[in-house]
Amino acid sequence: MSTVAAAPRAYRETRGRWIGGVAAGLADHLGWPLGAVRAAFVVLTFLGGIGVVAYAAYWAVLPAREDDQSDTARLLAFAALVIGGFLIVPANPWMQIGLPLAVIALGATVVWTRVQPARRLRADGMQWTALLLGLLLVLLGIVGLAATGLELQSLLSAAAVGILLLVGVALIAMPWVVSLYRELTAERQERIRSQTRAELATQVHDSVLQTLTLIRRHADDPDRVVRLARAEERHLRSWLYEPTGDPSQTLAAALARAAARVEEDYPVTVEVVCVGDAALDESGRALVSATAEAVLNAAKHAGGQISVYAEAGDGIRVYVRDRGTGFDPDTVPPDRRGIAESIRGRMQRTGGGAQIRTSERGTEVSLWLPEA
Amino acid sequence: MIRLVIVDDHEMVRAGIRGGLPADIEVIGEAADVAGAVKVIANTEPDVVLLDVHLPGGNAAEVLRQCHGEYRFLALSVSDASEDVIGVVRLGARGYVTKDITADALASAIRQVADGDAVFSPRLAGFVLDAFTGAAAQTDDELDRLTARERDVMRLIARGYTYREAAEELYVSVKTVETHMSAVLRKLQLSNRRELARWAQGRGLD
Repeated sequence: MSTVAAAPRAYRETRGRWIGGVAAGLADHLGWPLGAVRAAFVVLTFLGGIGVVAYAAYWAVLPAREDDQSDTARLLAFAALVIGGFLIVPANPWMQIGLPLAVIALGATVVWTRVQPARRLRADGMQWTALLLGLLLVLLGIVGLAATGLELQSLLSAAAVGILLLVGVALIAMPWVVSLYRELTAERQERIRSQTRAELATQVHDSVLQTLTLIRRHADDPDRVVRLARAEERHLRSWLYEPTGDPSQTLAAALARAAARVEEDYPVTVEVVCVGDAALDESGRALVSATAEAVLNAAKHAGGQISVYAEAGDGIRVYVRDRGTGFDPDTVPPDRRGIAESIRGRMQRTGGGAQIRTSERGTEVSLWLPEA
Repeated sequence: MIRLVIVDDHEMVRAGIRGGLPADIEVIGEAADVAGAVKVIANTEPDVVLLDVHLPGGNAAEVLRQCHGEYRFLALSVSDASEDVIGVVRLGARGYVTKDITADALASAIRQVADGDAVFSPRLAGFVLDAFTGAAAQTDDELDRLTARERDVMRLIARGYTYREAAEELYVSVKTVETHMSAVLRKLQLSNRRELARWAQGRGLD
């Protein structure tokens, strides 16, 4: 058991605040009355501006209790107020130190609170603006501090020296910054890679390993093994290569699913080729059902390789072709409702149609839907 | 006799292909990676190279590039991914088949490529139709358009018809169908259609 109580963190209070919520946050943290804290800041401000400097510094250090969109606007308003305030208040020796200090503190505040290291890599315009603005304010403050009591001429040269100094530091730091950037980029890429690997591992475990176990268990049942292998292959293939569509929404995905179902139940290979795609409406779904029926018939009576070709453009056309020995449409007993009802009837009700061509070299069912 | 080189990084696959080939196709060389493939092809000067799309040390595109289109390539892959297919065909492969093809179908594909014909799987025909549909109808560039007849042939191939069946269906000779296929292959390789470029770029093959 720990005897050291974690020091409660101080926050800037975002609710009920006047400016940045610093006073409210401190009052809450210290257990002092809010009015007293606010009064202290005001009084300190009249002592050479220490109040606003301290306020800006706290703003920089304390995190907001809740993220607030208006924070940046508030900070800018505060900065304008402070700088404006110093400009109109008659100069006194205290102010000559207070103003630059306040400006430096504000610059630091802008950089610390607006520029988040984690986001530094992103080309975020807002962040760069804040960084520049903050650096400018700090520089201005430093120059002001250094130039206390100096002429304008000297002030300008002091500013120039300051800028040169910054450029020098930037030059020196450049290799380090670049290597840091590269390192971070590499790290991020590595993270993406390991995520991909993890996803792959999950996929392999959920499907391939399970299937291999099943195959080993059913080693004496070749039919079962072939079916398992085929189902697994299709599963992997669709995961690797095929665009994921919703089978209840689009033609291509619906046909792929229909074909997969038949492949699961019969020892056949169904190759689905789609040119274009279409959103499925009521008649589109009827077309998919009729196609599924045709594929099922092909699987039952012909077997082997079945080709499904769908073309969506002006309406939809679907062809289901098998390489069986064909059949005589006249000898199909009327009670076998497969062709008559499931295919022809269904397509007629949609305003489309179905045609069946059969010969000793195979059967082809073509289905079509008029343009909606 | 057709002299064949098989390039595939899996010994099992190469053995499987070798075992299923008929007597008129002789395997004169094998390779398992890009460098080996380039060397074997240069040494043996085969009639047809059966080329796996995914190889260690680069990919099929690298082999196609280094062999300067001097040989006839038939691309072979486990995947039907459109960028693989379009990519190797644009780099000069005369056809594309997937590894689940039957031994007989593979043998006849190899013969077709050896004769200088194109080999289109239904899937590849579907890609071609997809790539040349839509805005293609308006363009003036002959390379960016399929003729009505070429489109008919592509549709039949996509529907699973053999060249012979497609010829019968269209009341033309098999030779005519083959001519149409070669024309489509040429357009596929030379056209600058955005869709083709995009597909090929998917694997950095363009």
